[in-house]
Amino acid sequence: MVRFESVWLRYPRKGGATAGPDVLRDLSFELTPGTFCWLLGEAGAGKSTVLRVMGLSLPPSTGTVTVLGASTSGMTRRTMPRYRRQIGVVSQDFGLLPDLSVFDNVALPLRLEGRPEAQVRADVTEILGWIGLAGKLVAAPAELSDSEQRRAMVARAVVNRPGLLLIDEPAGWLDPEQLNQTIGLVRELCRLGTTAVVATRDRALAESYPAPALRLSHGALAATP
Amino acid sequence: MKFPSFPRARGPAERGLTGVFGGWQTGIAATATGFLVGLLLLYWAGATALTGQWNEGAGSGLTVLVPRATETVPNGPETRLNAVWARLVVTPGVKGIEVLTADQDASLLRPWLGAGAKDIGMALPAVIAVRLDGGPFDAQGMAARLVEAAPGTIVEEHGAWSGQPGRLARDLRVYLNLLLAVLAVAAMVPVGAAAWRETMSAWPRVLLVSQLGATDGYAARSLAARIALFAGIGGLGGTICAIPVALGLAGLGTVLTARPLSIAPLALPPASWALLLLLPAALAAIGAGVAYVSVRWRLGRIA
Repeated sequence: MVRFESVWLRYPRKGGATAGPDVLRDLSFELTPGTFCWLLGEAGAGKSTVLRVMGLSLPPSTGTVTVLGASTSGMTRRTMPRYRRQIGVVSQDFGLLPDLSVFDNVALPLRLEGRPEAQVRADVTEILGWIGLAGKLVAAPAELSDSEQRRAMVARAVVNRPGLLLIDEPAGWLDPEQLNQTIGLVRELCRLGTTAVVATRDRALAESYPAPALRLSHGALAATP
Repeated sequence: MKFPSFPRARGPAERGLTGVFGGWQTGIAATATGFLVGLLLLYWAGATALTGQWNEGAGSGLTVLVPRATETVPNGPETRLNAVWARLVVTPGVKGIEVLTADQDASLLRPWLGAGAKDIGMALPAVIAVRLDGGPFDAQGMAARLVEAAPGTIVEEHGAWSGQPGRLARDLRVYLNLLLAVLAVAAMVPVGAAAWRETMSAWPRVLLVSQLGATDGYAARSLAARIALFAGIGGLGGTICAIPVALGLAGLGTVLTARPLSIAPLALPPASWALLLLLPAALAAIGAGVAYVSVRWRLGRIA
């Protein structure tokens, strides 16, 4: 479950003081478990910032954010990793680690959870096979095309079946067939209980896969699901 | 749509999370530091052993001269030399006794009597070299007992003239210890600095694994383990390289002085070798400590 209540955000400057214009303005909405939701808006509307707040990368300046049933204001550096492990993120901010193979990159979330190595091997090879990277298990990220890297990032985000899945602008790096496949995978995960938020400025894409949508404009909500 | 299931591939390369971090810079710095500090340690240990020998040799010995050594004592069948020997053996504080041979006597007298010292036919006193254990010692009391056993026996104490070199040796030891401490600390700085630079360059990766759900401690430990590995290997390599170089320099010293050195580099006390073995571990600990603390500190500031 994700809930925003009167969330405002200004990016913090050096020294901790907040400055600059409001990036998010009075956002309030709630997503129930298993929801597939589009986050729509033009470039600069605040989509990526909303994803960062949901992904526990950025705290709101004011307001309350509840992610996976817990308020972010009550999370500490000690408890936050437990929540982060339940959030899958596909975004430019979350690249692959260049020194690890594709397999090891995708295995990271499972290993951080302390899953048995046999299960790690099984789950990673399964998801990489499904996403079309079965032949790239031992490849370094640098050996992959942009599209393959993004697909590996999708695999890493979903391999541990997260409670919350956040995807930023998938249309820019997947061809229509891969996009269809990825959206299908995300919807299947939602059916199993994952809440998914996919940010895009491509309205046509959102219309191709009907689902509730949050429309952002200048950091404020234009419509709720 | 069902969640996909596919055949499983085999034998993927698996590496621990520590593989995402660097470590080479710290390894190189540790190699150089290991070499320099290793060399320093070897020479420090050698010099310390040497000053120890000075101290022991100069300050803790005396000479006993027994005239008419082969004559018997008035009250019994034993010779005067044996009577003195028997008293020396039971004297507290005496560590070793050695009666100089005729050749050694001749060698001592050579400056005055020349090469024929052995053949002059003069009745020379027996010379006993006595080594003391370095503790408190009553030389006058012992001299009185020896004279009682064999009248005319002379005890020559070295302490009066050897006190100065002994103190000099002790002072030199203190300076050597201080020098080692200062230079060792100075040499460790590059390892700490390299570990810190490494932490800075690994920062984006630390952040990423942190965002993926790694705890601060886990992220810090992963980086620290990586840096410790490289620093340890580099330090070990540098230390090992220092040994043949120290031996080579000792050999060069032997050639230049045309005589064997007073202390062989490999004849160091076991404690010195243990110290040398601890050096790579110390370098690894410094690198790991810097990495761990800086990661924890920076991650803590994000909150």
